[in-house]
Amino acid sequence: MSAVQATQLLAMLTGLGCVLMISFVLERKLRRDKREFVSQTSRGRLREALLAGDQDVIRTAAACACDDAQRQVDFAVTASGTVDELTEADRARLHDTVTRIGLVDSLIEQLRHRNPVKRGRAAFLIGELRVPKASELLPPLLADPDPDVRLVACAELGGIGTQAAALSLISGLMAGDVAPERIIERLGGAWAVPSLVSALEDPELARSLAPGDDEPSERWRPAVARALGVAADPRAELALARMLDSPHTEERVAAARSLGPSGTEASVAVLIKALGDPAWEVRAQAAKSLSAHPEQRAVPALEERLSDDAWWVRSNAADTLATIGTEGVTALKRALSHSDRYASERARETLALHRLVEA
Amino acid sequence: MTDVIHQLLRDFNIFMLGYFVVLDSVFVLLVAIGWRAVNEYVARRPFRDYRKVGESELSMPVSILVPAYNEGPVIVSSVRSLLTSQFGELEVVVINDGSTDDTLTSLMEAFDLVRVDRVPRANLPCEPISAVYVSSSDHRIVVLDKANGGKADSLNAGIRYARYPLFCAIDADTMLDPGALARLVWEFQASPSTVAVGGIVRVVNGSEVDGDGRLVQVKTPRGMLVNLQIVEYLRAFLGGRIGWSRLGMLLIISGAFGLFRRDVVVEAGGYDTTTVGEDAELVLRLHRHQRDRKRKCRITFFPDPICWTEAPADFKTFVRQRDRWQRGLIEMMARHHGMLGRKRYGGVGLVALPYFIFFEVLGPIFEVLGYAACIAGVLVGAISYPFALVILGFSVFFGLLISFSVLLMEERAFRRYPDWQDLRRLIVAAFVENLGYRQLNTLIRVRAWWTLFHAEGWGEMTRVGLEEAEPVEA
Repeated sequence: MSAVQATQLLAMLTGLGCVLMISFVLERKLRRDKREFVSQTSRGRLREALLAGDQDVIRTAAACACDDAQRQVDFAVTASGTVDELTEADRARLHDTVTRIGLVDSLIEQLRHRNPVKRGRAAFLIGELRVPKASELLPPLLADPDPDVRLVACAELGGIGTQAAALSLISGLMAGDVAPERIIERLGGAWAVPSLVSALEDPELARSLAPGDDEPSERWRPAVARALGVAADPRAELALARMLDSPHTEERVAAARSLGPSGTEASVAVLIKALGDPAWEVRAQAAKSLSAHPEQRAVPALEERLSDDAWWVRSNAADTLATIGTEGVTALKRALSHSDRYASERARETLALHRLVEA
Repeated sequence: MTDVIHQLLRDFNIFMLGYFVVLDSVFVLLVAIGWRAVNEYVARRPFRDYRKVGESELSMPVSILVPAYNEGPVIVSSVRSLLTSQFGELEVVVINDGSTDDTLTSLMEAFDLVRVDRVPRANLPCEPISAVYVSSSDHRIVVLDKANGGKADSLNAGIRYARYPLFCAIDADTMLDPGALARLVWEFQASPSTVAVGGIVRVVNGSEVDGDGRLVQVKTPRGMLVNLQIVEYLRAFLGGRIGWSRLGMLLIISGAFGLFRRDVVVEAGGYDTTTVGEDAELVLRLHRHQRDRKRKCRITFFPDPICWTEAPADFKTFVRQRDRWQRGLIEMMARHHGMLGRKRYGGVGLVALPYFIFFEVLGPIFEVLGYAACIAGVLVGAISYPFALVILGFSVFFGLLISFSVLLMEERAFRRYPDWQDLRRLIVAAFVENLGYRQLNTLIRVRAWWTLFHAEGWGEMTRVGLEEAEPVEA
């Protein structure tokens, strides 16, 4: 082969390769543009149909979603939020339509698929459609080998928001397959409060929720208390106040923390008492929670905590004093000349940070 | 004598052909693995609730560390931009590294800083810190004022005073996508053995940015040098790091954007202040530290969180940046050569390090010698013209294949450049990148060897500006 021939051949091959590669890129862009357009249009149309109860459009979309991954995602994303806006009757009609067309059975089958992406997507759609059987179908997925599937099951059970879902999530908390924080953030709603309180106060119920035959470990209780705090519901106040007497520090910390958002003025007395807890973590949380109920009667106890051994207790006490109006600010100003240097420094910083006096 | 030279040239050219075959095969393999990972990510993305991670008060809180040296004009908008991140609990720790401009004054005026008394939470070496300030208008802003010590030293100071279990190291002139932190934190929450996560860094030049430092519209610029870097960044991040990450052998996390577990970094000794590549060095040290203690060590790359940074638009700055990156890489490999080939370090010691030493550290020298030997071989008749073309063509063709593959990946998964004009520019850049730019880059990287021994001295502390980003080699 001559040099010229070799050059020509190489140039030709490279040129051909380049044309092919550019074509691929352009084709991908065109296809993606088209898919996005179709997806957007179908989501809009489906949302309108869901709200108007147009069963024909829903039926077509559900039929497509049985085995088309993109349509399944479109259906789930559209259902997300929209289904909750429907009346009970409209929702029942929707469930009837998607069941008749075979979507629910198809999704149930996909929950057992060996591909975790399929399982996750199916759990996502089942949850967003608020299928009545979801409370039974999703709990086993909390122990799925794939972390994404476990998390989507947890999220959807939180979205369903029934007592059965709440109990499943508490059971998941005891099993420990999902990080407690992920379950707590899903349980943190008013809908879950009765179940959470029952689980805390009824040992029989707690035993029935524990996985296997073993007694549930006590580690789930602080998590439930945290969830009650996230729910910020006064119905939890009594149970949380009782928890402050627990022999376990973690439980007392969680209860003191949650009494901030979930407590009422009635909690102030127990929180003031908690300022004298032997564990500094409890004192720090109690000081912080008192800022949610700024009452003058807490001032003396908080002022005393300005010279606490623990930095966090001093810091939280000072911040809370700054929120209690004139009495609190006066206490902070008094602390400027405190014999304990740490107390005076804390007071000075807090007054400056809250723009109550110049630093 | 002539015969010996001919034989040497022939042998070296055959070696170079083999070199390119292996190098390009590794690249193709990494791109293939990257494709698989991106496809899986795209499939899982719809049911991953990143929004909740950003909203939840139970998500792992993050301290964002912003080292600032003479960043007066940009620091206030940069902090404001960071505070708009869609992430619940964060603090922004600005470390004023002995700036000689109005960096500290600007911060004090903009955020009503109040001097406070804080006790450091970790014992890491750093230059003396003269004052700690907290904003009275937004308590999430903390400012450390310290003597000049360089970027690594500033980051160590920031880690000492950071409150939260995760810290994100970023450059003062970079911008984060609002949802970026939530997505990175998700990785830590999904897998407790995660020690560090890197995110993709993209080039902001040409895009529209508003007064608060927020990105309004992504566009490619007109200048070819920046477009070449855009393709190069895509190639490095989508084509290289995803692949290495998937194999559990990621060695580089961008200094412009990475999230780390604070306790592990403190235990490992923080950033090394005596190297110019402190970001990459830290990652390698974390691998070593964790594996020496027989702990699980997940250091991964997440393709979707985005940090936007400005790439050098002029040739002089570009050369300086690349020179520094290459020196950082050489230093990093020299310091951790003890990990090389050691079974204890798994894939990092057995595969990634040998690859980096052979193809990234020594590679530029081989390549330059290879091009020279190829030309000399043809001129003296030691090798045939077609054989020389095969060597050259092989290198160019696979380069093009990889560049176009990452453009495809970008279109498939992320579509950050939705305009046709941007795509056209990137396609042109993908060509030019393989027909001159890469070769030029190789020359700059060879020059870095010279700089290392002649200009700076081995291991000598180099004071660098804080405006530059990080190595982007695969």
